[in-house]
Amino acid sequence: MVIYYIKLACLSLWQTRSLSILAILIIAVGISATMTTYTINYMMTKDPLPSKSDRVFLVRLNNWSPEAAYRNRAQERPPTYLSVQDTVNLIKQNKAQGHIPIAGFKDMLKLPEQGAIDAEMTFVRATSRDFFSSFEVPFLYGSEWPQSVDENGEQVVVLSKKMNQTLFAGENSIGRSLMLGDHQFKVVGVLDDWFALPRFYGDSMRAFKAPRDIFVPFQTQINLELWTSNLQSYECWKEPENTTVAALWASECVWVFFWVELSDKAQKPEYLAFLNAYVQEQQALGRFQRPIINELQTAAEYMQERRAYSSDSKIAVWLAGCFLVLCLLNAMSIIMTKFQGKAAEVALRRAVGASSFDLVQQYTLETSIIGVLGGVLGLIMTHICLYVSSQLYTHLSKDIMSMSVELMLATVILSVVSSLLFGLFPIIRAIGVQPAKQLKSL
Amino acid sequence: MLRMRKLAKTYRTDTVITQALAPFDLEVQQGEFVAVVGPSGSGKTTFLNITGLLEAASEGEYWLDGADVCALNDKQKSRLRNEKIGFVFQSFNLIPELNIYDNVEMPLRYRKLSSAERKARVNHALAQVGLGSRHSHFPSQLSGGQQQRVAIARALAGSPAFLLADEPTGNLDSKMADGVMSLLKEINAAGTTIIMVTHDLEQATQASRIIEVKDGSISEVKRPAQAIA
Amino acid sequence: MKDFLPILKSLKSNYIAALLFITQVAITFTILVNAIFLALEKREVISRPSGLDEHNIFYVATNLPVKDAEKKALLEQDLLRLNAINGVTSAAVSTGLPLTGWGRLVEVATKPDTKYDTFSGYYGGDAQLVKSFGVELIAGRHFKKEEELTARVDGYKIASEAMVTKALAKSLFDESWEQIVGQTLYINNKPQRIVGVVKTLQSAWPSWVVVEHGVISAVKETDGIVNFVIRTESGVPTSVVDQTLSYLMETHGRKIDKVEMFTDVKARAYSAENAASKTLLGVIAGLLLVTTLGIYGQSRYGIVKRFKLIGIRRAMGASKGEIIRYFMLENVILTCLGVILGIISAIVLSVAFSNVFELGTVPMSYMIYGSVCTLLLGQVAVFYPAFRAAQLPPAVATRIV
Repeated sequence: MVIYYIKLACLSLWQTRSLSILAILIIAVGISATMTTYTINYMMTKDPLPSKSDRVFLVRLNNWSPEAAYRNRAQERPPTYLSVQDTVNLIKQNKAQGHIPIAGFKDMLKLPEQGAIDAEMTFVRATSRDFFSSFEVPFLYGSEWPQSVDENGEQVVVLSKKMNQTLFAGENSIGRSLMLGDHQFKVVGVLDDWFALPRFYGDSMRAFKAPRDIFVPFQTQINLELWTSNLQSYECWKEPENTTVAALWASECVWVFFWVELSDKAQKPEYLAFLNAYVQEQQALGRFQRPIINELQTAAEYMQERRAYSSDSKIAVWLAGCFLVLCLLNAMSIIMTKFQGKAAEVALRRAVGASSFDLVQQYTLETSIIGVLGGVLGLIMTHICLYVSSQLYTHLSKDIMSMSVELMLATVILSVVSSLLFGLFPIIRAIGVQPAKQLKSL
Repeated sequence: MLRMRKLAKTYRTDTVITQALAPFDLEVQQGEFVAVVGPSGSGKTTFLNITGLLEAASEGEYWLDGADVCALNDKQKSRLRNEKIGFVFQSFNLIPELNIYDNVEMPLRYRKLSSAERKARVNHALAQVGLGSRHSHFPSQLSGGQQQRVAIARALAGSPAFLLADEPTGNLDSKMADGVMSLLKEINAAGTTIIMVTHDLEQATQASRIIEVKDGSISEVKRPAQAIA
Repeated sequence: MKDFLPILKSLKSNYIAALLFITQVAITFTILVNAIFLALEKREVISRPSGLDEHNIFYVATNLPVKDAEKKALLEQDLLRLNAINGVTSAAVSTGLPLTGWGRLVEVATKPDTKYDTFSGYYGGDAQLVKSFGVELIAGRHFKKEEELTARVDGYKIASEAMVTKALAKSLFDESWEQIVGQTLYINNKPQRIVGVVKTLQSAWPSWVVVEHGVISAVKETDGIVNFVIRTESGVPTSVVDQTLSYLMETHGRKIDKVEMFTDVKARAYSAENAASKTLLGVIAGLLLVTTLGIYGQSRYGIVKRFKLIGIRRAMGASKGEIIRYFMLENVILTCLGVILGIISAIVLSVAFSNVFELGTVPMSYMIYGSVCTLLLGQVAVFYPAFRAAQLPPAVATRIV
């Protein structure tokens, strides 16, 4: 029976092909507008670490001046970053499963054999080995550096796939060397493609830009005293002793984002208690002369607080949604037109013994075919729109403009379901004709 | 076989109630050829639509082959229509985008039949109306008379007990009309009950019974011979 | 107007198609008005002046690769040499530039020992910085060369004079903002006398609430990376950039951190707004296309269905013009109903957006322009089908029965 309906549907679509094409096109336009904006919004606001969202936290300690609250806020909140000494202390105490400091610097990058003229100013991420395991970063060659490197601060790097392509033509470069400023580093790992979106772990203003391409141990940055003053925000409530980098490291200036991975979410109170105990210990030493309001914040909470999510993408989804409704209404009137021409056929089929349900099935199938075709065309158009968007939205990572299989499936389903929803009324009206009247009037 | 008791039809709009058919009784036995005559607007078509289950009567009882029609829902009525009744219309009502075979096959599609059996029945029906070789033609490629034969074949394909014809020759010239009439008589002779609406008195006389509808009331005309006399 | 009643009757008998049409017009209107409003709001943000002579400025971020004690001398030498380059109107050193996303902010107060009154962006440089930025002085005076100081970091801590932007002055002194000249402000608790007011100088962060607030002091800073702001005569000739770089590279150990035209800085700062406004324009284009097609298709079908009616009217003596007028008037009636519904839903959507996303609400003038545009759109879309209908010969009335 279904085959018979498909045959009839195809015949009918062909019979009214200009109307059918128009309906499919209009549905496709609406679907693609909605799915393009939805995809961008979805990729921007999705949970970056779904498997660990409730056990990876940003550590916030209330390290600020005894005289005033951080940023003079009425409702006091601790800064979002830590001083170097607290970061180092917390890593040493080793109470969490993973400790991930987020620091970095800028320096001239080149291969040892290249001249100074070939050196490129490069952003370097300084972190720990836990960065790769906790944030689920895939490796192409080699692996993260061993624990001892984090402790001693040895000169090793992990490269992104892109950087490995630039420097070593994509070869397995483990064991090769490169120069960062005056320091030689050895490659221990090369990352595979890594889509971390939104990139929650650092500066929220750069959450939708691509990650940095070169990673070194945090301790190495500390040991080598590599500091770039105009790279990241840093805030000091008390001036460093003197102008040296060593003094900055020893100061109360806060600038290191510090994330921890706990073994499970039940450990959160325990770790917070540990932080409070740590701060009390420091208070005894004369530091932290403010109320203890330490926080463990999830990535999503942090992004929300920093307003990393632009409202533009949400507004666009809303407008596109309205646009889809408009397109569907338009398609609905076309389908209605299409089915009005079928009053005679409906009447005849009723006369030869088709029940209303038989006809509902037949026309539902026809509408579904329009929906499927609209969805498939819409999917193609969505991909085109996403490509155009990736050219237009230069401030966003290209990875945002890509669809998962689930989203593609959702596109077609949305098209079919919405076409059926809006096609239902025309179908019911078409079936509702008085067969007796139609047959006579012919 | 077909039994109507005190059957009536009234149409209601917001302000007006029109009596289309006054209460009447009627019985038709198997194998009869009944002609329904009367001036236009008298209710002939309403009578045929009620008989063919396209419209429901407002009151009264209607038994078709032992089934109480008034008690049936839409699906059951459709089923009954599909199995017991074949329709032939004045304007043929073939579906232009389907070919002859598909047009004739249409009622069989709403039954659970194997494709082989459908094919056998369609071929038989088309052979019966003398169009065995025209399977893949489209309605627009046929003459009016041929189109009406296809419509008759479509009605016969489901081997109905009743054939309801509404002015089957109304759109045909007299020669083609004669052909269709003799085809209907053959079908009747083979055992199918025919109820035919017509305003051609000569055609009516070829039936075994004549019913006259006038201003919504139905009455039996005694014998064809007497009608002529 | 004699067609008015027949049209209403005809609409009543075909109310579903009419309702569908009205709903479509209403939705089109709702999206149109809101999308145009949002797009123009973005455009307005993008076109805000930074205060700089935008097309004639580039900057070089670089280091002073000498010992701390020698940095001041090197900086002064650099400034002399850069100012001497042919084509350079003015070169200065600055702690930062507007809209770069990286800069400094200070707390500003009118009284000592009180909490701050507001925040402001901060630029420190030599006495020529205001000239190199190309910002316009509207009250008071420029810095004098002898007021210029040099610090390693945090110049505002030693400054004794400052200039402010008009926006900052107004936020502190309202309409009597010009009185700020000669007053003392407390910049991060350090008292400073205000010598002048500039018209506009935006801070480093384009989306900051007080982006128009600016404080300038005549204190050069020598630590880390310094920014040379170079203003040229017309456009930025590549020769000037090349000469600047080749001079800077003469010093051993010099690292060029960044060389950028200010126009690029601005484009980068507003890339999100720019992309968003283009997307909105895309939405508007798609919307107009779909709606025009929709109105066209529905009018065409509506008219085909009424061939007989048209024939009868023609047979009874209606002229072609009257037929066209009938369908255009019908379109006006339906579109007006749609627009009325649309105004209501546009306001609802706009209020919802402004509550959820902290945006302004669409002003009434948009509703008026939007209504006129929608009506015109409807008329354009219906004209061809109506014109075709008028070409029907009166005989159709008798043929189609």
